[in-house]
Amino acid sequence: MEDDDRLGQRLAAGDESAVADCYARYGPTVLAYLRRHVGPDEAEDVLQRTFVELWQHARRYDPHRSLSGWIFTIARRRAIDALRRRRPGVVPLQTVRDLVGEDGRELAERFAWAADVRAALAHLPHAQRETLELAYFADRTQTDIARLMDVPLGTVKARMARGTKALGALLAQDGAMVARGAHRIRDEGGARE
Amino acid sequence: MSGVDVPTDDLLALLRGDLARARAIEVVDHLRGCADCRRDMVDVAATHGSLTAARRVLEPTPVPAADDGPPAAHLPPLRLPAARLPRRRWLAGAAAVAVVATALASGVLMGRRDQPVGTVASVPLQPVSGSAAGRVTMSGPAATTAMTISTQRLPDAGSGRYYYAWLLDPATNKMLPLGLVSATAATHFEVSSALVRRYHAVDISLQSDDGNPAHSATSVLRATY
Repeated sequence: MEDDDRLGQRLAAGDESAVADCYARYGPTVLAYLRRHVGPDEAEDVLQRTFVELWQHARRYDPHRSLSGWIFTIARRRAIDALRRRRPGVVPLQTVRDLVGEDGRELAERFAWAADVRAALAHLPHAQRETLELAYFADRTQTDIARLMDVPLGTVKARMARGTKALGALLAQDGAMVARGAHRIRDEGGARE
Repeated sequence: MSGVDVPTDDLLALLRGDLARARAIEVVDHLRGCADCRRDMVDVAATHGSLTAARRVLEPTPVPAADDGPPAAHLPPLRLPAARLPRRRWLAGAAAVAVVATALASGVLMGRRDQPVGTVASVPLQPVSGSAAGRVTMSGPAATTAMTISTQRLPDAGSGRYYYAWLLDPATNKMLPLGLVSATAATHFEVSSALVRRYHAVDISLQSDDGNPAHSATSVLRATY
């Protein structure tokens, strides 16, 4: 798998295909984040704005920063813009709380982390990925998974163990489980630095 | 260190709560005395924590039926502008008049009825007053943008009144007139892409046919792009 460092370097170098690769890798999770904050009707438009801005400001990306964190910084700003455009009184207070301030930054960071996990999962062999997705994203027990996939329980355990090890290596390679400097979602900086 | 054998899959099963109680006790006893397994446990725990954190913010995934295959993620196609769009703010109010005059004189703003090809942006029109909705779609080659404005639930303007479209820069409130907008059919404009880049919103106003060409200050719909 191409790691985030290499993808980020291509982005910073102005390689326009890197934006499409970022979209394929992070778009689904960014869309989930935006649906939660601006609603399903506007989420796809804000998603487009997010990646158009990523494309416009690609050369400003600092490859030493988290790529997913940068993308979610842009997405969060565009979501706030979308809410600000709405008439006063039509935006639920909880929605605003989830987006702005420290809570909003923390939630965006959680989504950035989830995006890294999803991106790494996509590079596992199909059987391992499917087993881990059923276990973690469909809340299935190992016994349930064995029945659903029509394989022995021992096979499920082995796939989960191998998948977990491989996923751990991918996340470490991408820096998703390694602290990086200047990495946090923040209000200042980001795409308009 | 206990004498039981602890494979890696039992470490993950312990974290997930998938082990029977007796086996969980065996594994924990073993971990207390085995440095190698504790190191393995750190790696397993880091990945388990990442997956659990991801699950908490992402929607649950429905279990596919046996013959469904992997679920397809719904992701709309990415539409990038035909060229990089520098976001320069145009602050000179007097220049706006010159731009309008030049645009009108050179015919770059023209109402048209043919259908644009190759969408590069599509943004919703949100109600400013009333309950109408709509969409602005922009497409075309780099030099010219074909803009289509479609509306829903826009009431009849009434006698002596009409709807009018404007390009708007929300930062400065600078406006550029586009033309009449139909309440019942899509309206098409062909606009210089350079002009489109200088503004960031489309505004639909309700105007009175009183000879005053200025914006009436009654906006009914607006889209930001």
